This record gives sequence, structure tokens and C-alpha cells, in this order.
Amino acid sequence: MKEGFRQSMNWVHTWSGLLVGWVLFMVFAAGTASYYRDEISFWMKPELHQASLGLLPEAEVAGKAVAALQQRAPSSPRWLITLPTGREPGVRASWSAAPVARGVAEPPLEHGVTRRGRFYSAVLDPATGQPLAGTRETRGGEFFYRLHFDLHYMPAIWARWIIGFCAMFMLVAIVTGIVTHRRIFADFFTFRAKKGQRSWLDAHNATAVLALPYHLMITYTGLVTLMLMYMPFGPQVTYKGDQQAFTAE
Amino acid sequence: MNPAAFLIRSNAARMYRLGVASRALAAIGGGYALSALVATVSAIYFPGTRAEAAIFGMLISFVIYTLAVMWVFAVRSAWRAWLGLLLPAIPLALAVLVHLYLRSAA
Repeated sequence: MKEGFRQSMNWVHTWSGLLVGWVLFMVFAAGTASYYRDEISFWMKPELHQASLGLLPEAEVAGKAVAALQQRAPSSPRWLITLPTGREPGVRASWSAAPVARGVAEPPLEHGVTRRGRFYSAVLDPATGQPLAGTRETRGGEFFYRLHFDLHYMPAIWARWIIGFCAMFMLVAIVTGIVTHRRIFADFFTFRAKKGQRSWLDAHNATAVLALPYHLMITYTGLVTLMLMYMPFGPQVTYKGDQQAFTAE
Repeated sequence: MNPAAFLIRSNAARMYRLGVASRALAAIGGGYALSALVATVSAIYFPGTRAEAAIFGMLISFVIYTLAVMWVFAVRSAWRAWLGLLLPAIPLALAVLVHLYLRSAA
């Protein structure tokens, strides 16, 4: 590409970083925010604040939730109850329901209950077991969590391929950055201030090398999390498409 | 006058751009193909249980991809870049084909 290995790798480092960095910046910002996913949701739903004032005994809260489900979905094959925690004060109750007969209208949803397919869910007040109906409809921190890998503005499947591509070339940028860097240890302690571009480069080196293990880890684990989507060929061949057998093993 | 003359100043510049485009294609598409082949061959032939083999293949494939991209941009010419991907890809593809053939024969 250029004269010499280091120069070539420097070129790849610059271009791969520049081209995918913009998307990655949004992914980082959203991912960092989703560390505080529950807290952001809680902050954005002031209606829940009262429920968090005193944590009731778990047995009592669970009993209320069971009663609420008994009343709404006595014949459901499956209930899910998530008890309150320090991070999430409401009781999350979900249940599945048998499909309604063809031609019959869907029963109206109770206030505070949401439906996705055959799956219903509600956040209950731990003290009363009633759905918290007045809670505003915001996805809160959940938005950032999905934004981190679904990008929100496009179909999720495209978003995941785009992010996989960006993560792959971030890995390339990191490794080429390392091999470009001749005096990686000595340069870590070098900072030449007020020298224009030289200062920026020194700062880039120092911050990048400081968090290098972390950068490598987040990039690689990002790819590995969705590796069955990005690299499905091995299991496809050896399991002949028997996805369940692979998951089981 | 060519309206894109400001982009393509000379024949040499055009060749350089073509070379970069060719290498980008080799890096993105060829690198993916090569790492996919490594993942598949590892899933088939890696010792251990087949689940371990498949997972090892997927884990190593991203490392192979990185190395492939570096190779593509490190070598002297775009032809060499393609050649360097093709040479390991051929035996790997053969290994996969042999496995598929033996399985269908059995």
C-alpha cells in the first residue's frame, strides 16, 4: 500500500477508524448510557417514585402479584413475575394468553397493561398489586439499550449487520494501531504540549493505550455476542441446520 | 473536458484508486470469505466435541478476518493481496467440499 509495513498499517488505521468511527461513537454513547438503564427509566417515570419509598416484604409483594394474575389470567399457561429491586421499584408481571378465536374482537386492554402478540405485561404497584396505570409511556433506558445494537432508525437486522461490520473494522483499527506504534511503552509517558498536531497525537496515543485492553475486550465481545449471526457456517455444516441440537450442546 | 478531472488527475492516480478499491473489496469480501471458511473447517475437523469445534471456529474467525485485512493492505500490489487470500482459501474450500462429499456418500 505505502512504503513499508508500518506506513501501510498506519494508513489502514486512519481510514478504518475514520470510516466506521461515526457509527461506533453512537454505539458507545448508547452502550454507556445503558449501564444506567434501570436508573434512566426510573428517572423518566416519576409516577414510580412513590412505589420505591419502602420496600415491602417479598412474600407479601409476591402474594399480591399472584392474586393480580389469578384475577386476570387464571388459565394462562405461563406467568412471569419479577419482584422489585433497589433499581426497579415496580413489580413486573407478564403472562401469555390463548389466541382469541377467528373473527372475535380482541378484548379491550386494561389500563396499564400492554400487549405484544399473545404476550401481556404490566408493571404493578407492589403495595396494592394493581397495574400502575398512570405511568407515562416512555421506554426510558431501554431505548439506549436497544439503540446500542439495533440503531432504532432502521430494521434491527440491517442495524446488526452494520454494527458487526463497524465492530470488525474497529478490531482492525485497534490491531493496526498497535502494530503501527513502534515505541508503545515509551510513548505512553510522552506528552508534548502546545505542539499542534503532535500534541493531539500524543493525547490519542496515551488515552488509546491506557484503555487498550478494554477497547479490545468490548470490540471482540461485541462480535462474539452475535457471532452465530455473523459466522453461522460452522454449525450449519456440522449440525445440518439443527439449531436446537447446537443450543442444547 | 472530463467533469471528474479534478478527481482523476493522471493515469497513475487512477491506477492508485483502482488498487485501493480492489484491496477494499479483497479486505471486506475476501476477508469475510476466508474467515468463514476457517470457521467452517474448524467446526468440521477441530478435535473435541462438535459444539467446541463450532465455537472455536467462530471465535478464531474474527482474528483471521483481522489478519486478512492487514495482509491485504500490507503487501506490495493488489494482485498479491488477492493471491494471498486465494491460496489458503483453496485448500480450506476443498476440505469443506470433501467433508460434504463424504457425508453425502455415506
